[in-house]
This record gives sequence, structure tokens and C-alpha cells, in this order.
Amino acid sequence: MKRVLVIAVTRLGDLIQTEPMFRALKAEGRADHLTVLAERSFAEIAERLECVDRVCAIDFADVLGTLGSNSRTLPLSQYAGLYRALSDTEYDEVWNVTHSRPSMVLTALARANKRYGVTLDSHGMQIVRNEWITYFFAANLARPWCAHNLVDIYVNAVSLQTPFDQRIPHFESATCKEPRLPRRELRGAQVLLHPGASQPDKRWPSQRFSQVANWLKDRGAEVVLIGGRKELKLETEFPLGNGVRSLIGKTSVAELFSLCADASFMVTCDSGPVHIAAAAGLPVVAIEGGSAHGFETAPYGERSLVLQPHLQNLMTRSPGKSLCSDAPSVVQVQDVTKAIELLIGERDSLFVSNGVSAYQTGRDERTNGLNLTALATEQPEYERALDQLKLFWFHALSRISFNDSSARGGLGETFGENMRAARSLGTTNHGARLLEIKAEALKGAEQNLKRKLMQEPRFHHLQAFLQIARGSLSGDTLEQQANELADLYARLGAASECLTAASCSSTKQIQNSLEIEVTA
Amino acid sequence: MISFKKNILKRKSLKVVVPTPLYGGSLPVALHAAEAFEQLGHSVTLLSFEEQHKLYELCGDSAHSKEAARHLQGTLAVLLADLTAETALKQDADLVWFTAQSPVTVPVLRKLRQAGIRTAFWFVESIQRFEYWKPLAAEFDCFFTIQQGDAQQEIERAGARRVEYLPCAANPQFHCERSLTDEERAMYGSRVSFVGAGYPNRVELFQKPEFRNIKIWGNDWPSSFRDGIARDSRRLASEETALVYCSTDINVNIHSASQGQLLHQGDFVNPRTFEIAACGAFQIVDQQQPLHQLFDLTSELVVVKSARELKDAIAHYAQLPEERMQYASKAQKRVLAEHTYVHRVEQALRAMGMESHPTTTAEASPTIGDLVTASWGDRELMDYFDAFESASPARLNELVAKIPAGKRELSRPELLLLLMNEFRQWGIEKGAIEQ
Repeated sequence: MKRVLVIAVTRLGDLIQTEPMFRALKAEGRADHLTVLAERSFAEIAERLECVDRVCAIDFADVLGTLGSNSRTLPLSQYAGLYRALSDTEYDEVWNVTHSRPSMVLTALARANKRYGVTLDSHGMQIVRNEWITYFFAANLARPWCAHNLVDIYVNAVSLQTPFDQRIPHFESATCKEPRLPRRELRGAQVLLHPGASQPDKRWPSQRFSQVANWLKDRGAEVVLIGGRKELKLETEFPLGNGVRSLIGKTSVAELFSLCADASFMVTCDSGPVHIAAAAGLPVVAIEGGSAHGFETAPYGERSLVLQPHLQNLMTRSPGKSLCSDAPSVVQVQDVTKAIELLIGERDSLFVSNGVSAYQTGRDERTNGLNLTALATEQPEYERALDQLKLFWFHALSRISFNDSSARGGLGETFGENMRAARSLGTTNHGARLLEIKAEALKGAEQNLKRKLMQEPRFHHLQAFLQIARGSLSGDTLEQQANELADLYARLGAASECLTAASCSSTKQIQNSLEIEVTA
Repeated sequence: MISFKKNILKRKSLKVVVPTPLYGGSLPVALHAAEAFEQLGHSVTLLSFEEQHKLYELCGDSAHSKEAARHLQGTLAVLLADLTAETALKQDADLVWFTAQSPVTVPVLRKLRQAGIRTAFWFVESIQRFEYWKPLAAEFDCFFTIQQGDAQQEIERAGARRVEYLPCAANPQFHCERSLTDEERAMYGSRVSFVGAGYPNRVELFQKPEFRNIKIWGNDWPSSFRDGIARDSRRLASEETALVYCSTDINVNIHSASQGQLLHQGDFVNPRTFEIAACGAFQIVDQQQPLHQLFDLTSELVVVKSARELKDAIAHYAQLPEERMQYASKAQKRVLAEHTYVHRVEQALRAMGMESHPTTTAEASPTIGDLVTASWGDRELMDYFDAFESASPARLNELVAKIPAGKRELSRPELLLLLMNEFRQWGIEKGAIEQ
């Protein structure tokens, strides 16, 4: 029996977004029994995820309780207990999908044959195993240029072949296999409004939510406010009664799923409930902005709508880590009401306010993943560039494209010749000379990548990717590591074919110059 | 006379709870230790259970059967042990200092450990004579024994985490040179005397005709000794023993033994050895294995190995008052310099890593010794921390800084420290814990 541990000490939304990866592990035959390590408050949710066999709960109150400066000792016995829980089973694989530094050490402590995600090597040095998760870390440093939905990053880390419908999060029997079409009229429809968000910069003003609630109520819809206890104060902004009722702080997550099963659609910011709705097959009007953007965190599935401020000036500036765009408040009330009308089929097209982009979620036949189709936008250049990036990374991290003889990336081809020459030298047993040549070739390839590709803001994260990848090579010998790196550079080179002249004025130039001088 | 006072200012004051036994020879030891903690500047809560001894006896007398008596007495002992724990918790004590026969239970020790309160057990009796310590041994932070050699290994086999040799001692406040009144001298004085209970080896020894003139003080002597027993065959209070020692020319000090040789060369030194010496009194003591480590046996104590040697020594030194005085004086200096309860408490705190906290250290800053306590039952963790100086501060960031990341394979304890450090940083970032 193959046993897999997934360390998912994360927030609700992230936990739900990683569920398709759990299923992929089972579908690929890599896990017969799957254990999830989750934060105690989400343990109940983890237990209800379809393919989770066992849940280990970690209580932050326990692990943080005596770590403060006033503590008289360290909670060694609690941590030793945590270790015993992690090591009571020998796992074939451990996956860390949390990306925090504590989870990195937790992953290293687990008894496992293979580890994926961020962890420590035996000497305590930070490494990231799996190129898709390396990509996650790199893209996290330049989030506006993160072109892959989080669900796809996790699933691709296990299997690129997972079909789109298998990437939609499942939650026991509440999950609808097919997305529901919202009823064509609002009268009698139940609409869920979630005005809260965990981070203030992601919130859309509650007064505007209130106006949307009034608009829905006037059109005969039944509005149900949802949210956690911390969001109770938001109730005061709404005209409760007469078609608007609040269940804020009154529902468990399981009850929220039931609500999603009965509702017509949800209007929300980027938050946990948006992913619960996606798992329940409920269409969503998602208002993104601040530190979140739809290409990365849109509700997974078809027919949901995303409204978000433009991701401004990203073609020329190096994007920061946290801020993706202006605040969600750029999105106006009428943008949301029009999106609702589009969602229920009352209108065929969508025109939104200046500075706002609107997208519809759907499947991307090229990558099996999620696609955002622009419905109304004023920044097609950004969207095209993002699409190129999406394909670039998909091909670069897919060994399928590298093995395809039709791939003729300048870097890939020349580097491949170099490697062939190096291998032929290897047959003469001149190991040291072989390594020297490889090192020269790798150095040249990397310099070319830096010189030509990383000058562009949208490739800002490639440098981080290479840095992590170089520090995480898994080969036991220098030669194995050199081969790993050569393989990666070759794939990056091949993937540069995705950057066509038609898409971006500068990419042709980049592609042409992505050749390395071979001096061996 | 005692040099500890100047050090008090440099020490961190500990909060120590000392529960005493209800009765017996361990009771004064607990009281002396409590006083020593106070003398060292620590804050002591003395739980004197001496008064509960009457209730304990009442439990035995009132019960209709032996089984019922044991139940009642056991219930009282559990109650007193719980009282000790609650007191320590309420006061946020640093240490609970148990002495042999103090009421204590395994749940109480575990409760204290969970609260981060350290526990010590000074077993001032022979472990071969009792069994009750065995189920408790594994639960103390430190098990102090007055015995050496095999006894320590036996305690370790019972699961004790840390076993330390901590011999008996004297309290110079009680046992010191005294100017006796004529009345006191008449009451307590004699040429040769012995203070102690009637253990079988002593009974057998003092039944010999050559020792019939020795004045005996103590309890549990057979009726055949009626004529030689002073003060109605009762246990003397500490103050009274000092009067006996100081008014006796030759104090005979024979260690107890349940069986075997009359003068068996045991593995511990009794409190009386130190107390007689502290009084500046002369003594002849039976040979014990650790004696030579504690005293100079050529000039401080007269040591005998057999009844014959005892008889000869009594006869010899009875004629040499000057020599007796020289022996007594040197033994007294030795005790005051090395063998007081203050010294023992200092040794114990040092062994537990709880001594000499610089005043600049934050009140709550743990020591490596604290971590040993916290890693209870995890041998790998305890071994890891044993490599550090027990009394040194155990700040997480400093411990983590010592981990040679990247230079060799890390051990599990090192990874656990890294995990704690990462959670601490994470908790600080999230505002969940104080920096």
C-alpha cells in the first residue's frame, strides 16, 4: 500500500484548492492511503474531502502556547508529540502544500521516502522539490505574472494529464459534477453574498455589497449574507429583513456547502467561500483586487465571472510581491449588477467601468487547466503577455514538450548539441573534463537567460525560479546535478518558442538572442 | 562563618515549595533544606505536614481493619500531595523539593511537570530498605541519593531520569557548639553515648557486655535495654541531639542496618556524622564507603571497622581529651566548609541547572536544565541537551544558532528546535505571540 502524507496547515480556501491534487495522487496510483495534516479548526473540513483517508490535526495554540518571550521553558514535549504523529507511519511520499517555513521543517521531520514542496535536506538547507511548486514560489515573488490558477499548479505538480473536470474541487456528496446554470430570472432566486475577506486589501466596500443586496431584493431575489464570526459587524451595513437575511457567524462550513447547493449564485470577494462555492458547482461573481487576482485565484470551474481592477503598468515595471493591483473598490456597483445579468442570461455582453477588467472562467484545452476569457478589458497586451507566460511555463515544466522533436527553441537546440558533445566526451572516461565542459555550457546558458530573458519585468520570477532550482538539485553526484540543470535549461529554451513575435514586440528579439555560444 | 551571603545578590530568586514528611528522620532534613533555600535567597513555601501526623495516626487507629486504615492513610497522603501541587501551581513555583517520606504521587509529579515546575527528590534513606520510591523514581527531574555505587544504578533501572549523589549534611543553626548549663549537662551529658533508633545491627552490637555502659538515646529499642535508654525511649528533637553531642565525651555513631554485619561498611553516611561534627563534638564512627570522600579519616574522624576496634577506640580516646578536641575541631571546620545544607542545596541546584542565574537574565528565561525537564521521557532530546552546560541559558535563537546547518546531517532534536524557531517567528509575524 502506498501511503502519502499531505501537509496542508493552511487556510480554508487553500485547503479546498489543493483537494484536486489529492485526487490526482490517487488517480495516478501514487497514493492508496492519504493522510492530511491540517490545522485543527479545519480538520473537520479535511475529513470531508473526498479522498482523504486520515486527518492529523495540529493545534496552533499548542505549538505557539509557550514560545512567547515570557515562557519559562520550551514546549519540547508538545513538539516531540508532533514528531511522533508525523513519524508513526513511513510514507512513500510527503507533499508540503503550505509554503510556510514551519511547514518546511514539518516536512523534513516526516518519515518518508520522497518529499515534495519546500522542505529541508538532511543538512538542514532549504530546498524545493518539484518544479511546479518551485514555480509557485517564484511566481509568488511577482504575483501579477502568475498565469496559472493555484489548483492547476498543485495538480500539475502531480500530473499534467489530469482532465479539467477532475481539477474541480470536490467536497463529499455536496459537490455538483456539472456546474449549475443560474435561473434566468432573479425572482425567487437565492443569492449568497459574502462581503468579508481575510485581508482588508481584498475587500470590496460593504456599502456596495449592501447596494447590490438592495438591487437583488428589488428584483425579487432572496439575499443571504454569509461569513464568519469575525465579520458579524458587517451586518450593520445591510438592510436586513424583507428579503435580506444574515447567516453571518451562524453557519458551519458544512452548512455553507448546503447553502451553496440550494443557491443560484454567489457574489463575493476573494476568500474561502469562493472556493467552497466552486466545489459545490455554484457560479460565482468574484470581485478580486489588492493582493489577489483572478488568473491566480479565480473560482475553479466554468461560467463564473471575475471582476478586477487593471493590473497596471506590468509590462514595464517589476511587480511587487504582495500588491497585484488597485483595491477592489475600483469595481463599481453597476459592474457587479451587469455581471449578474450576464450570469443569468439577461444580457449577452458586458461593459464595465474604466479601469475594470471582466473575465469568464472556463477550460483551457491547451493545458487542461483553467482559462480566463476576457469579456471586457482595456489591457489586451497584458492578457496576451500573461497567456504567453502561461504557455511558456507549461511547456518549460512539461517534459513532454522537451521530448517533442518539433520543439526548436534556440536555447534548447544549441544546448542540446552541446550536451550531445559532452556525452560523447564522457565515453572516453575523461570525467573531469566532461564536468568542466558541462559547467561552461551551463554557465553560458544561464548568462544568456539572464541577459536576454530576465530583463523583462514579466520574467522577473524566472531568476527566482532558477535560484531555487539550482539550490534544490536532487542528484547525488556533480554530474547528475549538471545533467539536471542542463535538462532544465534546455526545456526553458524550448519553451521560449511560446514567445512569438505576434504576441509581443519584444519576444521575437528575445527568442532570437536566446542562443549560447558553445566553446567546448 | 558561611560565605554564601555575598552571593545572594547575584542570584535569581527561585520560588521553592518544600513539603515535609509527616514524621520520622526525614522530617528535620526537609526543614533544614527549606532553611537552606531561604539562606540562599530563594523564596520558600514550607508545607509542614508534621501537624497532620496526628490525623494520620487517627486514620490508622479509627479504622475497623488494616485495609481500611491503609485506605484512609493513603487518602490523606494523596490529599497532601495534591495540596502540594496546587500550592506550587498557585505560586507558579520553580521547584518542588521532596524529601524521603514526603507525600507525593505520580499524577502530582506529572501535573507539576506539565506546568513546567521542576521536581527534586532527596532520598535520605537507604533505597534497599524501602520500595515506595520505585514507582516514583521516573517522575522526578532529579533523584538525589545519599548512597553511592550499585544503589545509583538501581535507581536508574527504576527509570530515574537523573540520579545524583547528594550526601547528608548538618545545619549549623541547630548543630553547633553550645555552652550547656549544669542542669543540661546533667540531663544530656555522659562519657559515651549513642543517639539513634534500635535497628537490629545496633541492638546486637550494644547487647555486648563491653558496650553496656553506653548511654543510648532513641526509639525502637527492645525492653532489655530499658536501663540504658535515656528519656523514655523516644526520638529526640534536633535541638536535643545537639545537647547530647555537645555534652558527651565520646559520641559513638553506628550506621543502621537491618541485617548483616554489626558494623557493615555501607554505601552512605548518616546525618549524625555531620551533625556531631558540626557541634564540635568528638565521634567514633563505623567505616562507610563514602566517608573518605567527605572527611580526612586520619585527623577528623576516628573510624572503626569492628566491635573490637570500637571497644579499643573508646578505651583509647577516653584517656585523651586533647586529641578528642583536635579531632572534633577539624571535623567541625570540614563540615562548616563543605557539608552544610546550604552546600547541599547549592549542589542540587547546580545539578539541576538552576543555580547562579545572573540578575540580568530575564525572570522567565529558561536554562538548559529546564529543557531537560520539558523533554521528559524523550531520551534523544534529553541526551541532546545533556551535551550543554545545564545551568546555561536556553534561548531558542541561541540554540538554533548553534545548529550547524549545511555542515552535517541534522539530528531530530535539531530539527525540532528549528521547527520551534520557525513557529515562533511565524507566531510573532501573525501577532499570536509576543516577541
